Order: sequence, then C-alpha cells, then structure tokens
Amino acid sequence: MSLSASKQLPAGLPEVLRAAHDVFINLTTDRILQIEALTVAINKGEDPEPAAREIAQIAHKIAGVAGTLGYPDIGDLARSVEQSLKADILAGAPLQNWSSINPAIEDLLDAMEEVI
Amino acid sequence: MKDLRILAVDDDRAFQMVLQGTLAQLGYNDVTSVPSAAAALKVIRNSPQLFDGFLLDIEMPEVDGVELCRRIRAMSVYRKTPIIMVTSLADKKYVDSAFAAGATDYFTKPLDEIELRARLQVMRQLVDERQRALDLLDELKSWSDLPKANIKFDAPLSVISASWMVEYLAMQNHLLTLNRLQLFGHAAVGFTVTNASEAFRLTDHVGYIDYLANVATVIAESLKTSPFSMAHAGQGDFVVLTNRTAVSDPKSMQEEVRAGIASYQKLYNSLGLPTPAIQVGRPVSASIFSQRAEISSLLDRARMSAQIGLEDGQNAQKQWN
Repeated sequence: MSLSASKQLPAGLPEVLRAAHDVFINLTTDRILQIEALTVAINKGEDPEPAAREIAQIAHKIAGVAGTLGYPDIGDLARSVEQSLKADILAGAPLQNWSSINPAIEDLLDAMEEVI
Repeated sequence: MKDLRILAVDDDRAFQMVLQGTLAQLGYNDVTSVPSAAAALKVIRNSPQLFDGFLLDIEMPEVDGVELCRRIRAMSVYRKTPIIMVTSLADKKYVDSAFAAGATDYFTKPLDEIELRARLQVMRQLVDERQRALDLLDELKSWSDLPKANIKFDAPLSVISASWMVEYLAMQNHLLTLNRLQLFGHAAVGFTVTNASEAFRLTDHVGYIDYLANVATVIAESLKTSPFSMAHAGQGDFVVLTNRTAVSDPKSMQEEVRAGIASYQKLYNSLGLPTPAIQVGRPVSASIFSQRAEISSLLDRARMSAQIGLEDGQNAQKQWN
C-alpha cells in the first residue's frame, strides 16, 4: 500500500531532490506497516533474530536518506534503532535490550506517521 | 572536461535518487543506478563502454558491497578503477574489509554534499592519472623507433613523439642555422631532474623513457601557448628553446612544473619510482654580438643554469649575461 507523496517540500530542500523526497514519502507508509508487523511478531514470542535483522535493515535505509530529505529527527531515531538492534544481534542476544528498543521503535513510527 | 561515467549501486530507491540528484548538482550527469550487486554485474558485463568509477553501498541483501567490490576488482579492466564505498555510521567497521577487497575510498550516509564532492575529486584525479599513464603507454607502443636497449643515462634521447620534441643534436644544429637577429629572438631554458639517475637505476629502459616522457609533458604544459621546441640532453636534463619575449618567470615555471609533477605522486609511488625533483634554470640568450662558439654553448649554459638552480644561480647568471 502506498499513499501519494506530499507536494510540500521541507524548507531548504533543493528542487532536484523532489523526486527522491516523493519516493521516500511513498516508501514510508509501507515501511511503517512492515516495522509494525515485525514488532508485533517479536512481541508475540516468534524467533526474534530474523525480525530484528529486518527492522534494522529498514531503519538503515531510513537513516541513510531522512536527514538529507529534510527529516533529521526521523534520521536520528532510525539510526539509533539500527545501531541498538545490530549491537544486540552481534552480541547473539537480539532481545537483550528490547525493553528500551521497543519504545524507540514506537517513537520512530510516530515520527514517520507525521510526515505522510 | 569529460564527464565521469559512474555506476552507483544501492538497494534503496530513495537513496539512489538522492545520490543521482546530488551528483547532477555537482555536474556529474553520466550516472547509472542499479539496486543490487547482481544487477551491477549484469550492467558491467553488458556495457559497451567502461565505467570510470563505482559507488557501492556496503549493506545490501544477498551479495553485499564488499563482495561486489571484490568481484569488480577481479575483472582485469577494473583492476585500478576507483571504487568508493558508501556506508552508514553503523557499518563503518566494514570499511576495513572493503579496503582489503580493493576499495579506493568511502563516504558515509546520510549524504554530505561537501564530502561527496571531495571524494569525486579524488575519483577524477585517479581517472586522469590512469588515462595519462595509458596515453603514455600508447605513445610508447606507437613509437616504432623505440630503442629496445642501449639507452645510456648520459645520452640525449627523444622521449616522446610530440610535435615540439626534437633531438638534442637537431636543436643544436637549428641554432647554428639562425642568423644573428633570429638568434637574438630566442631564449633557452634548462630543466633538470635531479634524481633522474635514481629512476634510471630503478626501472628498465621503457620505464625510464616513460618517466622522462611524463616530465616532458608536464614541462610542456607549464609553457602553455608560446611556441617552443624541447630536447632531452641526457642525464635527465631538458632544454626548451622558445621566443625570448615569451619566456615566463623561471620561479613561477618551476612552481608550476613541480605542482604538475606532484599530482602524479601516487602513480610514481605505485611504480616504485621517485617523484621527479625538477629544477628550472634562468633563461639564457645570445647577445646580438655573439660569436659562433657562444651560440653552440647556449644550450649547455641553459643546462648548467638548471643544474645550479634558481637560488644558487643568481651570481652565476650575472657572469653569463
């Protein structure tokens, strides 16, 4: 599912990045749904590692462009989620800090919902 | 300036577009973007033209950027092509393995225009250096009279087949054919590569000719538009004969030549050769009343002035003029 992109560019964003901005906004809707589904799966007690890896991968993509496209807060939140999840996966304990990562994911989702 | 032909690989469509938009803003318009290593390898294989450089995201599903870098490096035509990795701060730890796989450089996401510009300037420099080396190689291959052996360090040598390059003997003979007035209109400037003997010792004959050819080209570039002829007199000494009124200030010529040579430092390092240390002499010319013996020694005086150098040559120059 995807909604049409916002026509209002963030202040200061060059026109040359309009197309990238529109793609980012369109992808945001799908990504919110993906992250929500993966979070629900983890909270239900399913194998956390694949889900945590996938969330980290999505967060990685968001962190890579959000700041450039005028959403630095989303970029910071995504980076923090990505780094925390990767650190725990690397340590072999993907749910080690889930109690603090879960609220961070909720904050990221809230910030993403605001831009669509 | 030729546009760089770049292949960018990133699995995020939004980032691809950010990158492409930013590159276009910086004047790089010949950019192909693909979403995966598999797609990149397919494009590389099917492309009729070679790419000048690659921008590879490190974190990609299936084959990641580090592995893609390794596979590109394994292709002989891309053994030295600049490969710049793109990484997030969280993935910086993978940069070492990317360098081990043959990466040239990296920059981090989110994209910073200044950082990207700097990395692309490095890419441009490497592409230019490589092109220069290939041109020189072509020059040498096309030179049918390339001496296979018996190159002596002390002997004059025509090091590059360019319209302005002449045999040293031909230059001497040319001077002798000029009448007094014509001669008065000429000036000779000496350039010497003070560490040429080291390069001669470290490389083979073709390598040494290549080494001198590069120096000759850099000198020629520093002379810009004035008509001139150049000869290599042996021992790493070059003499340029040009119009007396067109001669530039030797100090600024020396600075320009040294800067030109410095831009090839990486190339020399990779060849294991010393970067040519070049000294420029003060321009020397004949007076209207010069005797024949003085005319024939004009070129030797230019060489000597270069060997003495600008700093030490001030007093000596006064004696000659």
